[in-house]
Amino acid sequence: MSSVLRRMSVASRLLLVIAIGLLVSSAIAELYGAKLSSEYTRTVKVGPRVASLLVVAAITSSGRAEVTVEGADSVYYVKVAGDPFLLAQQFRSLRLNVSNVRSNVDLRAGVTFTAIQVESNPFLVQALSLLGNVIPISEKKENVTRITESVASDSSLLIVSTKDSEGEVRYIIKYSVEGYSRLTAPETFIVSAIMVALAGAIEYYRRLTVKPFL
Amino acid sequence: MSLRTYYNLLYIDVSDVLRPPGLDVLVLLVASLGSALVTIQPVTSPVVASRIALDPTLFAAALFLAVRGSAGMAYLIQSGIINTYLTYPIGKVPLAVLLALSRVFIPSLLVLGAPLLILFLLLGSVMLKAPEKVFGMYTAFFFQASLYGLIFLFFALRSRSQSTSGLLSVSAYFAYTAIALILPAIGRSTGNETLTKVGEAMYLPEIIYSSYMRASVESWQILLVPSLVTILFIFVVIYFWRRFEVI
Repeated sequence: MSSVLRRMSVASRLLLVIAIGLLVSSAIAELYGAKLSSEYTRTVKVGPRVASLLVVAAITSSGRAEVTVEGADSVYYVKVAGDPFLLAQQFRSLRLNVSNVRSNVDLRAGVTFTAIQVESNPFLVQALSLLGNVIPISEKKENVTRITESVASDSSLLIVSTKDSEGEVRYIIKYSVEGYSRLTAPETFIVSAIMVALAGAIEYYRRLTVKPFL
Repeated sequence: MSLRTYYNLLYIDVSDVLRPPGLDVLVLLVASLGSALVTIQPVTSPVVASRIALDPTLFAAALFLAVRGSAGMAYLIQSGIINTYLTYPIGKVPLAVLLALSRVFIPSLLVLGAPLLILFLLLGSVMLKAPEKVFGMYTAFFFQASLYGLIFLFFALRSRSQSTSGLLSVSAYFAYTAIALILPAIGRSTGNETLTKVGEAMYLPEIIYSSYMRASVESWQILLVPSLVTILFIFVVIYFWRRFEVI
């Protein structure tokens, strides 16, 4: 193999190698590559003393989250800018009493969903307003609240639900990735074939002329 | 002394550094796996994509520079090929610049560029959202790799032994990475803000990434690694010019 490579110029060698690399990474992407949507359902216990927080954080992707909250008396949401991994630190600085953190990472969709229980107090919403603009949801149909909001890769969506009596709140989240596209497998084949042909053309040209061609 | 002379010497030395199959295998693995790291996630930000791909590539580039750049340079000295280079009708300073180009700058540009090229082909619509930011990340990684490469090149000129320069290079790489981790740790535990910032600034890609992610970054933090590269480059050239002698 290396005796063949030794007769070729750097440019055509790199073209060949990158054509193979393109095929390999495209194959991996086809088999195990990014998903464009993710779903998450969770039921949490909420009461007069305990409120529930749900964080939708886009780690690598950006897209649109459709959140359905069932059974909550009041629902607020906050869009928090900045690195989602700093949220835990921000909660600590707000002195929120956080417990029962359950995280669910969907790497292939590039998003994490985290359900958190937090001690409810009258100042909870005020405290959260330090993170961003708290928006209350007034539209409600038969105890079901719907939020549709975009999530960028350096921000997260924080949903707060409270309930005056003991009970359960159910979250259903549909997350769809936006602004993502990649070459399909046939297109990758064509691009690789062009690169191999280009490498062949360079080698042919080099043999016609004696000049070294880097 | 035409440009042709410089080009010929550069061509000869680059051909030696990039000779097959070393570069081919490295670029194949780095390009396919580095870009696969990106394609398994739906990355929609070009900055995040270039960072995910280039972080592991930098390690491969540093090892390539240590083995081909530095140990290869020591081999040139040991085998006496450097004498042939020195008999070329060009000055010692241009020769030092050419050697730095062929042993450090060109290989790091090539190795770091390969995964990005695949990403541009595969995820064109994502990467073309902000090509200038991708270029910024590429430049940051290039400066980081050149910093390692110039340190390695100096070890080769100083030690004149393949194994010694290889070992010294790897130890220097390890020491640099460890110090970049230790300084912020010490800084945080003692509350010394400057120490933390110096430690963070030792890894330029992280700083550029944070500045693109709208985190607070100071201008001297961006300039630390590029100025170190400039100083080291001048130092290596002067060392080659004034102190380096072939036995």
